Amino acid sequence: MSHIAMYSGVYEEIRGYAELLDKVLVELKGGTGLPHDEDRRKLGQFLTALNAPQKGDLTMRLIHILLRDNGEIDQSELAKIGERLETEDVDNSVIEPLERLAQSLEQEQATAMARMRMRG
Amino acid sequence: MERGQRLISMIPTGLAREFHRLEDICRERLVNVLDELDKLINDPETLRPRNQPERLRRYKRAIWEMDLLETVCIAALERAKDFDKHLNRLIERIRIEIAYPMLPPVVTPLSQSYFQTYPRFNLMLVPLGEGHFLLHLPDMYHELAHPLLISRYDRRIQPFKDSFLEVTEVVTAYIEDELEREKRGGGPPLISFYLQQWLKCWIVNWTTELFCDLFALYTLGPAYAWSHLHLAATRGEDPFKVPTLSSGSATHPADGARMVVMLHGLTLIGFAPEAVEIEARWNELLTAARAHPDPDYRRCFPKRMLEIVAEKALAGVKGMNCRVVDPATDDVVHNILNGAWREFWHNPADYAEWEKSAVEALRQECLKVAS
Repeated sequence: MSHIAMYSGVYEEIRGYAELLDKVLVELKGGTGLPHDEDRRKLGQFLTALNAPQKGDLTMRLIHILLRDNGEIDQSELAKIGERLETEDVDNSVIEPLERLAQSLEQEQATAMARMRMRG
Repeated sequence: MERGQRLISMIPTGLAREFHRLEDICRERLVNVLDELDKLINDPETLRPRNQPERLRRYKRAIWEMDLLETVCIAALERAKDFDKHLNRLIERIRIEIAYPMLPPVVTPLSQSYFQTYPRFNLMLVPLGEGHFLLHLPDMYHELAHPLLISRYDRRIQPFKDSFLEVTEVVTAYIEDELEREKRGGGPPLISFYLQQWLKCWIVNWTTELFCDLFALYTLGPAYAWSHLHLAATRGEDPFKVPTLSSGSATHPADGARMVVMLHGLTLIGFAPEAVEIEARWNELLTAARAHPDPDYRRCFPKRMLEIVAEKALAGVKGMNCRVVDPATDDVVHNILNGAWREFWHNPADYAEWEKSAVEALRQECLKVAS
């Protein structure tokens, strides 16, 4: 497989979770989301699984590894946030780490797209 | 918005049946991008000042998506008139022969960068003119494996994915042990940095590439290993190079490691004599290139770990009930592609003439599938 196709694969793998994260962030900031909302539940599962990728799928393993050395991201903290998303206990201490995660995912996608262009 | 609408209008009409799925995917994703852009411009909630970081990220994603659709999908659809019917019949024939558990991708001969696959678009690009030759067609088998690894909820494919996950666990455990050893021994921080980078490469790219190599090897046989040897000889870099600060490929495992995996794989499925023959040629290449494995290579790609990759992948391919070749396998495409490499080595001077008639025979066989 070429480099271009490979980086497009990385970009595609991350994109779905990045979209989900931004959607839930808007709801959390607006105070419009509820713990049992489908997107919030999915995000909670993602955050919990991210910290235990042995039980996750390939995408989860990939994102776990990509974020592993990122000083901005504490995956065990994200797992706790995943649990808090199932409750009403949501404040800035939840939103800020999620914002950092969203920025990191954006950076990984930007890197993949930049490499595609560079090699294309 | 204008760009997206223009791209939709660039999708040609009257495309061959094989392109209908790609056309659908492309159209649907462009419509989604336009819907998203519309929300980013007009949705009152999105326009609130507190939501501007999310709005900016969503905008970037929409533009990246449009870039990808334009450079890959629209480009393929625009050139669909150059559609190579033979290669599409061939991939269908291969699908049947190896009991491939998914729909085959549409194949277009417009790659400027060797063989490549975009699994989400169900699209395989091959170099122009490749359909007139045989020696590198084995790479199509490698490309067929990529969609398997991103499939979801398909129980038939799960064994292959399970094997993949098992390998990532083995690799992670090995590198973490090495990191721990470095920590205890107080080694230079650079080594720990390398180990972390290698782990990332193993999980993000290398295991995938090795599994695709092995899928091709197990479903086609020695022809795939010969094809890889030829590719490494003609286009490869240092076969033992691993990523460091200065160089090394992060996307593909070193060719030396790929060869170790393939030789072990061949032995596992009953092609030990062929493995010996290929290894001899490989060693000739290494001697000519003055290539030697260094300690970094040995640490990044320990032989036993590479052998485990081959063993796990074999279990995965068997678990999908794909046809795993053995020396008695007798199928049309398998015979022609393996026969091509035998002929190439046996009688290189006359190979080109032999190949012309073999290509024609393959075309006739593939026509039988189409009719």
